[in-house]
Amino acid sequence: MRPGLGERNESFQYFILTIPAVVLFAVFMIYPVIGGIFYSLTDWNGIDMRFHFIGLSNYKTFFHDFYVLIPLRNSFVFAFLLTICQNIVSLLIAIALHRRLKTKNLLRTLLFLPVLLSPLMVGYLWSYLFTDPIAELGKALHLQTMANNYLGSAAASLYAAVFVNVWRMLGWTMVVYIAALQGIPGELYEAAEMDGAVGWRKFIYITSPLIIPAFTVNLVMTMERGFKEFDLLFSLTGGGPGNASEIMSLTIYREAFQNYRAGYGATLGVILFLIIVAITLIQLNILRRMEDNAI
Amino acid sequence: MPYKKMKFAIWEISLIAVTVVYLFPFYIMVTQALKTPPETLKNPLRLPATLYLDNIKSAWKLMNFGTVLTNTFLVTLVSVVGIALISGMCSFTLAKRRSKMYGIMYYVFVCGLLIPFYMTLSPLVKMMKDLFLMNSLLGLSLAYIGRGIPFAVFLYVGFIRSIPQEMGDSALIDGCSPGKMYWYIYFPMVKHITATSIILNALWVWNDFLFPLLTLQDAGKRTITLAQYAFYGMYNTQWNLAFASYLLSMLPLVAAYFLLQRSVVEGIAAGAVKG
Repeated sequence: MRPGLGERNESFQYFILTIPAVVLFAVFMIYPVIGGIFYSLTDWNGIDMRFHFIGLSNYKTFFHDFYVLIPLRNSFVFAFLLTICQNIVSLLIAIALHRRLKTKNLLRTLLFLPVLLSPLMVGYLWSYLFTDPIAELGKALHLQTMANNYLGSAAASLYAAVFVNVWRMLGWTMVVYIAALQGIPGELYEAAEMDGAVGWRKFIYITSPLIIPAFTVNLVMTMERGFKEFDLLFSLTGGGPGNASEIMSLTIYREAFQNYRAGYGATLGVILFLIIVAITLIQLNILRRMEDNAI
Repeated sequence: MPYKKMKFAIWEISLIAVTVVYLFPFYIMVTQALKTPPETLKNPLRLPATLYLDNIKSAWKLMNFGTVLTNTFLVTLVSVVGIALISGMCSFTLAKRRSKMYGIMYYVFVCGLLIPFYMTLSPLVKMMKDLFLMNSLLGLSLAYIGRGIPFAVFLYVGFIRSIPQEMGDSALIDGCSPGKMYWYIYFPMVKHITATSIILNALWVWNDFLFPLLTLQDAGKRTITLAQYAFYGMYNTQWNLAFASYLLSMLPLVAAYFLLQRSVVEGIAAGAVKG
């Protein structure tokens, strides 16, 4: 065998290992992404083979589309509020559960349960809970505020959806925070206690700098999932009442498959993508800098 | 120290209280599913007078739960195994070979993480039609594999890069091909990444709704979420049946979770550290 042949043969064998992944990724991701960008420049209705190339008109429409303004605002409110609430609550619970409690593992297991349910089902479940049992519970506890059905109110339905999503995903972020807290060596706290640090001071000066990587992961993930959420709002409120709780993903679905404006739907998809990229980059930038400062 | 003990007890009791309130929806789901139809309409907070199992039986029949469960199980199995095998092999090459092409390939894969599904919706559905993958469980699984590759590649490459080079090099001297080297040396070493990837993707594929909604039309090919959707449309006034169906569709994953609890929790934490 000539010496050069072995090396080339080996490279080829390495290359073969990537082929299944490259093919499936190209077919089910790259092609549809390019297709999405392409159709966003057309007036395609999603069914016919025929369409016209209309340049950037869909993008111009977007900036004059008053109907889209509310879902766009809702997407931002939903994603930001979700990120803040879910992370605060799950961090508090993670810290509370980090103590040496007897029931620690059981409670962690139970709090994680909703993560297993499909968002679709969680939506249906809570749409029932808001109509009847919560009102009954309010009556039983003499709490007037619980007697209203928040899903039916234009002012509150989006916030109710945030609440339900926090309920569903709390366990996920909690598990990540608990893992991060477990990674902190106990001696650090002992040393700090010797120096007289107590309670929240220990948290600010020891805990929080050491769990910044967990913040990065959780904040980026919750925000991204918030912008991408569909199933839960589809079944919980359907975007209603009116379009009070409609977020971008629901609008895209509606435009593409109910109003037969697949081209415009694709445009909204591209815009959603750009929003997610921009926000993720900003988040990563800030959080990475905090990680560096902490070290 | 009795003071410290009491403090712990107070913490513990308040956390238990929080958990009980948190699980209130499960209480409603289980009790409503076991009540007779007239009982469901009365006070929803009350415990069922007797254990009434007919709801579960009729929900099973009406949902065609046996078929639905098999479909969902098959799609999930093919998808998660496919994602782990295909991404693992590819990541091995991406992590080991230091050429520009593989570097670019890695970045393209990772960029896939940010793509919202809605951006690809219409072209993807059209393409599924063109490739005759509509209404096919295998087609659905293939698409899940394609969409699941970015995250798995991200996890695998990160980990394989951290394994010292010498490990594989000794095998190379023995005349081992790259494929064999992956299977016999690296695959056992990346076992926990494989577990993480399988768990995270199983949660995603099992509970996914929009994609099956757009690609599966036959009632016989429904997955669990589609069955929930169809069931809700038909029986949304019969809460006892609806809750029985929720209970049924929840049980398989909950059972799997209690069996594999530690790996699930560790898998999510590990996925997060790398992600």
